[in-house]
Amino acid sequence: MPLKNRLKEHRARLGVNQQELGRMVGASRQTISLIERGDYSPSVTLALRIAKACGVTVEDIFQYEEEN
Amino acid sequence: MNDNQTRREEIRREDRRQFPRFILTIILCGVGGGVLGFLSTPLMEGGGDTLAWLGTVALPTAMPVLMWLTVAATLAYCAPQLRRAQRIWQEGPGDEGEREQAADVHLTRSLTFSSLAQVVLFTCFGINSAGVQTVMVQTEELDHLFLISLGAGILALLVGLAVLISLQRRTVNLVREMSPEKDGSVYQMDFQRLWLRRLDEAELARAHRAGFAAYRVGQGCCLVCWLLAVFGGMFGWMTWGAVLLVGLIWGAMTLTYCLASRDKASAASMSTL
Repeated sequence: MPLKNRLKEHRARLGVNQQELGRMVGASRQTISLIERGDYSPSVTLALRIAKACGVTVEDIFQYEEEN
Repeated sequence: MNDNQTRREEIRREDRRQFPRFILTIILCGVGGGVLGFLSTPLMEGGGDTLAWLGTVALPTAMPVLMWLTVAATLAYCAPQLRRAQRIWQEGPGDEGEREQAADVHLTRSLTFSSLAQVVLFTCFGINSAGVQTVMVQTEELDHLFLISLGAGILALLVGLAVLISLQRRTVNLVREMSPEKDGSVYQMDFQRLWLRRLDEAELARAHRAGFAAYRVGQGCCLVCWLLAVFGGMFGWMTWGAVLLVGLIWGAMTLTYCLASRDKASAASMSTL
């Protein structure tokens, strides 16, 4: 997956667990876990909701890197 | 030549390039089928009675053995997997995401095994009960033996279903512990609808990937079953009912896929399929 993320850092900064963050952004705990592991790239809508919940921009959380 | 015409010509060229290989495959399959049919006639004439006895008497009578073995194997494999998953979730190292990922491995193994066991149980019972027509008209001894076999088969099916429902309940309850937003009890009639309603985008994406993989395999299986049913009908092993059954399943699967693939099918409506 070319999409890297720092969601775990921002979630720790917020002081919430995966379930609480999931509730804030309307996603399941499992989806938050999949995103943090890099096993799932969220939709634009979900990425925007996550960024808003964390109080940062989407680019602060998700970085796109070209595959070699 | 404008862009559309150029594109059309490219597509036609690609079709012409692939056509000979396609025709060769069709011819080889036809020849192979013909050779198979030709060779199977002496086989039927030589061993037809033995095969018929095996298929209509021995197999239906022996099915309960396989059914009970399936029930025992399911319990022996799935119950420890569920216990391990529970232990990892409650006491394992790492944060909740890591524990959930580790537990999921065991849950998936248990679910896969029990799903296959369900299919085996239903199939074996179907073969067992088919003996009602073919075995009950034999000798009195066979009659009594088959009645015991049928009783054992019915009991194996009931016990097997109880085991499977219990395993499914434990799996669902553990998943609900790990993901509290999930709804539904296994004992609810509309459990599947409630569960699907709570799937979010990642879970839906996974479900759709799995659904498409199942559809592709299903298409291949329907083709094989159709061939078997046609040959079976030609050699008198089956009636046209088998072909009709395959056709119904194939048609339902294809129609569902086509309807779900429409542009305007929304995620919400797809989750209700």
